[in-house]
Amino acid sequence: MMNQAGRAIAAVSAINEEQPLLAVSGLGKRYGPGCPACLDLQGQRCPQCGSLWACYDISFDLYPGEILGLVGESGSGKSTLLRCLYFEEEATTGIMTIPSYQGGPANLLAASAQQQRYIRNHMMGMVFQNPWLGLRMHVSGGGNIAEKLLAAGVYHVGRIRTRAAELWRQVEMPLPRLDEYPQNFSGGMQQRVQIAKALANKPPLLLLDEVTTGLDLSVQARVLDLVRQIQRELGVAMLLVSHDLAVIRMLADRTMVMHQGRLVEQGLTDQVLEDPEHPYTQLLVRSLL
Amino acid sequence: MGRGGCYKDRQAGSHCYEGMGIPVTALPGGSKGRDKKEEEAILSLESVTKSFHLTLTRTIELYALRDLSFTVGRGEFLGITGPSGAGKSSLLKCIYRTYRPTCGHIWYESARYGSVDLACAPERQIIHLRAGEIGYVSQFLKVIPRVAAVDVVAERLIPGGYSWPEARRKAIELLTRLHIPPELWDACPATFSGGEQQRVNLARAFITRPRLLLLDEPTASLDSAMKGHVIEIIKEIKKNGTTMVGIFHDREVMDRVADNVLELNIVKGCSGSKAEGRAAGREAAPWPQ
Ligand SMILES: Nc1ncnc2c1ncn2[C@@H]1O[C@H](COP(=O)(O)OP(=O)(O)OP(=O)(O)O)[C@@H](O)[C@H]1O
Ligand SMILES: Nc1ncnc2c1ncn2[C@@H]1O[C@H](COP(=O)(O)OP(=O)(O)OP(=O)(O)O)[C@@H](O)[C@H]1O
Ligand SMILES: [Mg+2]
Ligand SMILES: [Mg+2]
Ligand SMILES: [Zn+2]
Repeated sequence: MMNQAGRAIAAVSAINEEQPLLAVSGLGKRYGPGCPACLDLQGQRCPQCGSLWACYDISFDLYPGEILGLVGESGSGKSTLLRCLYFEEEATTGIMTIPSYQGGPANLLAASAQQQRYIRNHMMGMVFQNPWLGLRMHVSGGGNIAEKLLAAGVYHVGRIRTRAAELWRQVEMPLPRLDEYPQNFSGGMQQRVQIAKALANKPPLLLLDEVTTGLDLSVQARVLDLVRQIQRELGVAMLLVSHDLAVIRMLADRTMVMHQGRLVEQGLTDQVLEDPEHPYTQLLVRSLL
Repeated sequence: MGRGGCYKDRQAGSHCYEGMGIPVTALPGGSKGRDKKEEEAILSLESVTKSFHLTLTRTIELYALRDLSFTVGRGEFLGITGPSGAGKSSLLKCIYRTYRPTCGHIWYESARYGSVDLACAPERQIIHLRAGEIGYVSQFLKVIPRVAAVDVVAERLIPGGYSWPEARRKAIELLTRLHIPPELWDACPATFSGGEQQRVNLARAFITRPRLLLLDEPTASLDSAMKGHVIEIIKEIKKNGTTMVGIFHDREVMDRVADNVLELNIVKGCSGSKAEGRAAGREAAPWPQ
């Protein structure tokens, strides 16, 4: 992915500059048995063993407080990448580090389940593309938030109630509906409950998978406002997956483009959109003009 | 892909090290050999070429800028002129890194980082420079839905550590000076007239008092009274030490603000358009007769 000079530069600028919150290198996820031919794969499907590589050789850094956009065609592996980062799914290859966590160097993808749980519960929040994966539909909205707080080590019932109500207000949900099942909520409300749940433990990192997809325009706008507000006021770093380039342009400082399981381009958002380099990105951007 | 590192390291090798915040040892021509004018330069373009490699229908290589070199002194206002398609906007976008130059260097003397090659500096460095040192006024405002004019302007101060009330106070001060009526302050600029949007756009750039300000036809949609107000502010900002590069169609406006003028021309007989710089620096700055 990156030559020696590139690595040296990345290292030097990290010293001069800031430390990434999250560093990922060579991450891959394979569905299938795998074989030696998988090592120099062209597309997503290995012709020898038939395995599908949902993502392949993904490397990037995410800095504190920034919104990093992730775009790419359907099936290019965006959701899979997020699920791997959230330890929902076991990555097949790769290294992921959080430099501020216990001195940094350990590969968290290979850490114990207990350690992964700790990181997820204390440092991460995720909004799933499908709310059925992110919410327990037969547990009340408040209960969903409480679950995340309990996982993060908040056991005091009064504090949990207060925090849940506070988050409920923050995402502009009507307070009387705190005890209702998310199953009964509209899509936009479910996304907002997911955001409330993701924010419960005040994580420095949010993984957002298509937070606005499928919502009608006015609800979309409110969810986007919420995301902007969270970033501005809480300084939370976000990895934001969206197929809506307008959303990406509005929210992301930097943007990465995935195509057939690989990162084919990354850069400043305005540059990726206005001066795209990779043929796939050019197609993506032009088709939306 | 480099991860925020210099994208040029894929093609070229070590020349981009110079811009990474590492002490510059080998500037072309040798730093000892630089004359006084160059020492005072805050911006110095060396053989900048920008071509677009478009792969959509068939592969075409389109040149917007070719081998362009010039310097801008500290506190100077350099006007850019030339026919439509000569590459004026592309030039500003290369300096702002919305476009990545294909070849060449764009040396900028940063307050924070020292000598930086904007053509290949790490993206995070560019983001910090955009937040604190380099401003850009595009021809059109990119409106963020549902955000009030005052906040569109004020938010630019937040990364610099201002509180919201403080930032809003400064924003209102500036909007007043630009004659945006108070009843519009809390409205979203989406519904503003072209001239009002342009003034919000200017306020967004002016409020951070950037060291280097890039202006793309900033007075194009303003009437002559408004032009007067804008010119007044441009002059004031200039007096405070901001260096500016500005594109104007309007010769009269240009005469009132520019110290020097660079004329870009389309050179015929090339594939695509080709531009070259005619004038550079203080000595030679002829107007087209
Ligand atoms: N559990 C699984 N078993 C087998 N294949 C899977 C599994 N999960 C995902 N895939 C495949 O991995 C590929 C990437 O899927 P993923 O959901 O990450 O795509 P995506 O980029 O998020 O797409 P979209 O934009 O449609 O959400 C797809 O081809 C998908 O069918
Ligand atoms: N993102 C882009 N992709 C492809 N071609 C581009 C892009 N931006 C500019 N060009 C081309 O580069 C050339 C110079 O364009 P540019 O916008 O810089 O001209 P200009 O001097 O600003 O013109 P005008 O006075 O009309 O604004 C044009 O031929 C244009 O089509
Ligand atoms: Mg998905
Ligand atoms: Mg132009
Ligand atoms: Zn295989």
